[in-house]
Amino acid sequence: MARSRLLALLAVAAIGFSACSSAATTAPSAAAPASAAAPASAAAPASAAAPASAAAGTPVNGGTLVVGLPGDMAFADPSLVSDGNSLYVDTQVVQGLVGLAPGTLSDVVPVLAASLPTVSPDGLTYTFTLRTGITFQDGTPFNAAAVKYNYDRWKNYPKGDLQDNAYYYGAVFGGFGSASNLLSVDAPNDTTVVFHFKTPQSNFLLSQTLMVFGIQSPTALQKANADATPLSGNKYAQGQLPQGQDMVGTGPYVFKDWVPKDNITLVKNPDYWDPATAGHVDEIVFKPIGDSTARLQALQSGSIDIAVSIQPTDVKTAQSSGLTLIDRGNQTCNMLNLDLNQSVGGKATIYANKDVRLAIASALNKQSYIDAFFAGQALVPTSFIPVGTLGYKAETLPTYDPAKAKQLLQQSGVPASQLNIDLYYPSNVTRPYMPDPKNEAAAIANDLQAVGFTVNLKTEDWGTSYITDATNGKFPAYMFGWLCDWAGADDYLSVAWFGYINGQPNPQFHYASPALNDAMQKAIQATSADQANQYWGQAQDILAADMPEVPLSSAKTPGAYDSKVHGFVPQGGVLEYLNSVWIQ
Amino acid sequence: MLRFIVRRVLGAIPVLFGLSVILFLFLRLLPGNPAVAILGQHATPQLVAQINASLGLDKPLYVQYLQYVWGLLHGNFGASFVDGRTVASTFLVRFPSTVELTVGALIFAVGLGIPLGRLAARHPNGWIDGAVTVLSLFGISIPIFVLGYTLVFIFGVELHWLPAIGQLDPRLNVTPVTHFAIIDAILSGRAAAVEDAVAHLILPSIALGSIPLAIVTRITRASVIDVSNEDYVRTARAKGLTEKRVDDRHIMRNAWLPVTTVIGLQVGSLLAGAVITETVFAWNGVGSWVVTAIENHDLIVVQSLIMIFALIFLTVNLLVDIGYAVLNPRIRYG
Amino acid sequence: MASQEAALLVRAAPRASRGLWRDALRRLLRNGPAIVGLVLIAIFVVGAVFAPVIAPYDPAVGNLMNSMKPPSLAHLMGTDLLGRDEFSRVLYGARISLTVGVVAVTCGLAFGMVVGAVAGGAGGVLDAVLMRVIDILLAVPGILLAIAIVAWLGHGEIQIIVAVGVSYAPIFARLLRGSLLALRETDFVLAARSTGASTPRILLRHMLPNALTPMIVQATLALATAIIDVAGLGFLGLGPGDPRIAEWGEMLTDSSRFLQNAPYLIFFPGAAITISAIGFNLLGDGLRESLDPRLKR
Repeated sequence: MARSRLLALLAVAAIGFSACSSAATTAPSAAAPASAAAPASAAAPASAAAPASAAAGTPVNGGTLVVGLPGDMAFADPSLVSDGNSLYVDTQVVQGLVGLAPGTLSDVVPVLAASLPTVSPDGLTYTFTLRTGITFQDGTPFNAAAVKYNYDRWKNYPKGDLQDNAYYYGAVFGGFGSASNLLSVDAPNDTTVVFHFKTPQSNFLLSQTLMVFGIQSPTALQKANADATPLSGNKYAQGQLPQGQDMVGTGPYVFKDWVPKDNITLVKNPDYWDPATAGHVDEIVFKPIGDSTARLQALQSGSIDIAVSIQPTDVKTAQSSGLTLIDRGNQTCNMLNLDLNQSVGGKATIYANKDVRLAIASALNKQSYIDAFFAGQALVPTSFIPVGTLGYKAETLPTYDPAKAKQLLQQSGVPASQLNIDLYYPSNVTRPYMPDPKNEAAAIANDLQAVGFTVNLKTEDWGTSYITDATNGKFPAYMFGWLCDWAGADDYLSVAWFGYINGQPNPQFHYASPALNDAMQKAIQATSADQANQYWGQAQDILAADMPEVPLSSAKTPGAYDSKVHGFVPQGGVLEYLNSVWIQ
Repeated sequence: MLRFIVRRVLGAIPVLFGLSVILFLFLRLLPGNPAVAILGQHATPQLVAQINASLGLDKPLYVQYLQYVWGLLHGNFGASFVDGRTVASTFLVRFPSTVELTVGALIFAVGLGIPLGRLAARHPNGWIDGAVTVLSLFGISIPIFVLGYTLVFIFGVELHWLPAIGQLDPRLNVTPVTHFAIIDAILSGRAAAVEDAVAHLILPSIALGSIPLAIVTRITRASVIDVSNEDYVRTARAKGLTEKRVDDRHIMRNAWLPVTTVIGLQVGSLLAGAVITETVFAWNGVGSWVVTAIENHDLIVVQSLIMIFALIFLTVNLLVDIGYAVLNPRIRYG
Repeated sequence: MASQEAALLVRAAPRASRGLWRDALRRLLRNGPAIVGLVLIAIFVVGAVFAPVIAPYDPAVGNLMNSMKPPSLAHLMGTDLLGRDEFSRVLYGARISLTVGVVAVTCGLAFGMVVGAVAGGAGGVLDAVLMRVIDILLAVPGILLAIAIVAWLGHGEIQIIVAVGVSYAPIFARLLRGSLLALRETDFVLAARSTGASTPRILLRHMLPNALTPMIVQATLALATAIIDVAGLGFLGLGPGDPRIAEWGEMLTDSSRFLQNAPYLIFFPGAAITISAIGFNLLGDGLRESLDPRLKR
């Protein structure tokens, strides 16, 4: 069924690129020498599975590329979205000061900036020098004033529709207006931009690779009165303005029109600033298809050329019908966990007992879930964050060992009568990290029963109550995951899970660890990357010893495309530049 | 006749008013929250409260209801909580698809069902009758999504005869004007576009039309058999009229009555079936819209759409009743 | 849901007597298709009742190593994604699916009868009000009503029963009221009234028994669609909560994405749904024909 944008939400801001060396000419940022740096993570080898066709042949220009997305985009103003479908479209149209190097999830390189910024020793001032000679798609010049205009605009969004939808600005900078950690943005001359912060913010550069921070034409925004509320009457946000007046960025493709829930059409930018990364196809049509079976069949029958994501269980079918699999390698940007809440309704659960948590970690045959529900298209976690994430440290996590699980349970001293547990899974949802929650829950239940638990499976509707009940701490044990906003340890460990809320442990876990909290605080306010990584490593050591949640998998989120598609570069986290794609 | 129509229209007003109150209360009592649909994994309690306040969901129920009715009286159905678009603008884009789909399904059902029913009725309990009965039972008994996926697999994926999803191939660049794919294709003036639009309509129409086909077939068969046993038909035969003339002038004219009624009643279940069909075929219609809206707790959209569904249902059934009078002059309405 | 039309086919039966019922039974037993329907249903009922004896495996527990194996001697209908035996699940599924169908229709029937009887019996303002409410419910596509109810009450078998039951109730209420109105003017009711019998007594003793036959027929036909409606709810993600429970609609929905790599997983539960629906339809048609002798074949 046509799942909502919520259900179809893709990897939000999973901005990584797969480790594919042929990608060197595809991302606009590739011209920058900084991209030569090795991937941050040693555990991210070059993806051997990158399709040969990506490198083969001479690109042919022209034609229409039809891309199947799992859902529609939300708004045509990139600053107002937080879902993967919108960002997938936005990435082709707008560009930010910085982007990510090919082959990494977290290696920041300059795009509209000429180089990476210089940072003051106290970590409070970032100075960027901009590229020159770039124009927006409406013909107006890109300069420092335009950058300042955009950042000022976001910071000063009023309460209501605009703040409600501009989730990422608030999340990254800790709020709007005076609450924002971003004090001011100065434009002393046409090519220099200076950012001033209240406190050091180690995630600043990485977070700015999100295309919600893409720079749009101030002239177009003003002419269209893009800040008008309610958004129902805002033609810019609704994408209802003529070509060249809506979603006006600097990218290789221009936003042409949008028939909501039916299609989004982009056309090639004839005046694109960088010939090396200009687009090949004349037109890209995005077609939202919520139902995964329908999406696969649309691809097989030629109605669409690329399916950005397919069900992992369809991988074999796709390959046997002559389609090319999009294998995003190890550059995943999501985690699925079995969360164990140590206190529900003011009463301690059996998960407050560390032996029980470790027993569960040993009882689960993670590889068997990955084989059955992900068709092998996922990684067994080696820490609490995926391998390509900034700050990742390899840990030795418990492996499948039912005997050890039984022994740990015995050691825990929890009476058998208390091993009758409720396990929650969400219904009415598939997520990239969770393609089949219902059946996976049944498999987890089987494994737990095998070591002595009695499991009652319970479900709630994902959008109706599951998310809120889970985050408010109403479930004892439940499946929950996270799609990264940006590929940094802070996004998973602090934003999503273990950050203290109003001085208290997150009610999702009721896991109180002052040591962990301290390490995370130090990491976030670190003034150098090395220092930040060291503290994030400490945090992961603490988690591996305490096991407040059991990491189950990091999904590779496969996709597929037709044999006439060439030059497609799979990138981690389901966000790709389509400028390199050509059809024949 | 006019008085009858006026009375029926007036009678519909309390029904619609009652529906609006019941719906409004019912929807607000449902657990869940549009803010969660908007925020997804980022739904923290603070953000949820903030968005609820922006949407006006923290106001007392009667205030919300009065605001809604006030909007309705001014022709304003309100705007979606989730995507911010007005219900009216989205409706104009999506309703034509559903009309196209429903009409396609009805053409399939009626066009095939009536001949099949007459064929079966010609020799009740014969082998043709048996075959038609079994066929129609299958039609009723196969869930739409199974039929839909199977049709796409056979005719789209394996044979490549018909397109799998959507209403028009985007590569054809047909400008949406009316949002009726076929009309837009005609307006584009290209035969290939029209052909493409019709091809896209075939499989969804069959999938959605299978249940009405079965029902129309069965009703036609039953009422033809029924009417054939009436005295006036025997009289007509006794007078020596040809079998064809008896068929056309005496049997079918009377057998039409229940058939029309049933077709009218089918509109309700067609809309329900469209919910699933549009999903399987990735059609941009109101059926898939209402399901998405229910999932997202997009209350204004759900409320408005169900009201519109009810209005359609009542209108179609009024038309059916008027159709009665035209088809059967014996019926007089005070 | 798809069964409103049947209401039109069912006529108010003539007054009942023991002879009529016996005649009806005799006619039913001579009705070939109805017997076929009865046999089909009986097969599933037997399968459901004796599932623990017949089923070769535990329907809830599988082995992931044995996932999605095509039919073989060891697994007559193959295994599903979790490596569970499909044959055992189809057998156990009959329990849930038939129970859900029967209970849901019974609920709808009971609710509809109460409303219909009150409306048709009382007449006047109460009738008008109740019928407007019924009109409102009829105007909302049943599946939407069901979706909303499951959204409200949460997941589970009972919720599905209530959802499907409520969506059928208006049809039954309408039908019963129609029959009662027709009966009100019949000779025997007028006769009873002239003897001074009270209204409730006339309603209970004279009118209801006579109005019952079309209801039974309608209920039988509704059973067929109820099973399919439950499958439709599963497709929309509103099936029973525990995935270990075998239920045909859920099994079918779950495997619809395996159309290409494991079509047998669709075929067997699909066939079970289709065959039982056909069974109930044939029986319903047979009942109608035997209860209404005017409908000669």
